[in-house]
Amino acid sequence: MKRRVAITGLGLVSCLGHDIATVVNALQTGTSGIRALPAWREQGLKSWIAGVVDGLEDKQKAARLPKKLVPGMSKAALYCCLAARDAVADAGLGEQGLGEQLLSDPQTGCIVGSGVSGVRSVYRAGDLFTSGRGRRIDPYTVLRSMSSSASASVSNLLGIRGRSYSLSSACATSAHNIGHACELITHGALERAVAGGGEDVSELVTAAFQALRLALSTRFVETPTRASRPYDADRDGFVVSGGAGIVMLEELAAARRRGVRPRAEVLGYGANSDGFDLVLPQPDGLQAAACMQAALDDAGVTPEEIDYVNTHGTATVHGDLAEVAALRQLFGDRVPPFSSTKSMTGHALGAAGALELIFCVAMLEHGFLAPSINIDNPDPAFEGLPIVVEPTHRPVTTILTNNFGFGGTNASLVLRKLND
Amino acid sequence: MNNSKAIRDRVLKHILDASDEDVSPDDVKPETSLRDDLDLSSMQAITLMMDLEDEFDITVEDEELEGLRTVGDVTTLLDRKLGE
Repeated sequence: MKRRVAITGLGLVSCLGHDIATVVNALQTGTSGIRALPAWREQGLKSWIAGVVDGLEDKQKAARLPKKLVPGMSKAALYCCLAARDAVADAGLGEQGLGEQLLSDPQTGCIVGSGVSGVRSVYRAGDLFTSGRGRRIDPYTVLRSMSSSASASVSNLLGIRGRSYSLSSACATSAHNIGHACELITHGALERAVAGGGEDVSELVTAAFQALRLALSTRFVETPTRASRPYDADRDGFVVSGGAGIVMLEELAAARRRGVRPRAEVLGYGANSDGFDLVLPQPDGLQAAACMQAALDDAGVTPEEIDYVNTHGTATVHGDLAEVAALRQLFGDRVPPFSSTKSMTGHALGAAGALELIFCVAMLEHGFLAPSINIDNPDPAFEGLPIVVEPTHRPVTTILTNNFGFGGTNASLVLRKLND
Repeated sequence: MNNSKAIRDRVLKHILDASDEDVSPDDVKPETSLRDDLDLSSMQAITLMMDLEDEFDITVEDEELEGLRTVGDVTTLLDRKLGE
């Protein structure tokens, strides 16, 4: 019998808030976390808006992060550590004793990543080096810029001694980290894992996206909360965001034995690649549909059982079309209600998958569907489809959530509400 | 206040700012271990020396970082550097 995976703890840092209750309220009211950054405009960025992650001082103080760890953390890793502290506490593993014992157990893993890491550190080091001052390079540069900064930081913070590494797959990063961690638990390699991912909100990364010319939204900078508009005919690209989402995953039976109430079950995971283009999605959505089908197969559910799809929906012209083409292939004329929460958060890049999975857990628990906001002028290409445009209260049992990344990499996860 | 005492006080401030341990300056002795008593990591020791290089306008060679295990090792090195 297949080992089942429970989500027993949630933690996040996001532009919608840094605790679950605040974020649920934002999702239930269709509130945007996007705001203007005039400094970015001064620096020459055309998309000078973002889902900014700020106001973390109190959270960081409460987290009591050791001084010897903080300087070695990239911003993404710091966000992951703050979210991990909450996820572990939410799972009842935040205290000494049982928590310490289970987290240091060799069967506990840390599978946490980021899309990029420590870009600012690399920039500073490069600046010093090319100006002949290489000797003044910060010794923490390597730790902040290594691709595994997030898992290294979280595992050292929590005293994790099982396997610890970071998968990185652009905007599918944290979905892949969670999916992989689930597979490790299902296959018996781990009993539990701290899993997810994070991303810094960086003007340097935004400048790099700007170089792609058509990736970022630029036409709605004067009305930031209206800028991220998946499925709207006037959508013109994504809005940069960041943060972190971390979940505590445990083998379901073991979680129940220790008396913790699982918040949801990860029922299935699918991952594949387009093999089509480094940036553009495959227009017919064939591989994205195959990825979703793989997740459904792994979950052992039929398309008819999916109550809602949390789409990748970044608000690029081509990306939204390709994903909806994939939905049509998988679901035929019975596409379930779907929405893109990126309309509220912007695109949190490597953090997106984990944050959106946490949003989905909230929808299962609270019985609602979060909306796609900002569809003022619906794209005729999506006419007749059940896009959720208003917060909708209704029971939800099974959710499919998608994340796709540059390079043509895909990830889908199926979540199910668990009855007590 | 003699020069060595002043150096020691400034070194101590850097060390105690970096340490997670709740240690009083009066409890820090020359033989106090950076790692075992103050829980400083190797990275913190390197950063400490970079800060001291800036503050005292000295240059510490990579080889001189080896063997710095105690507070006394650091202050002795600084005394020597400032006397050069």
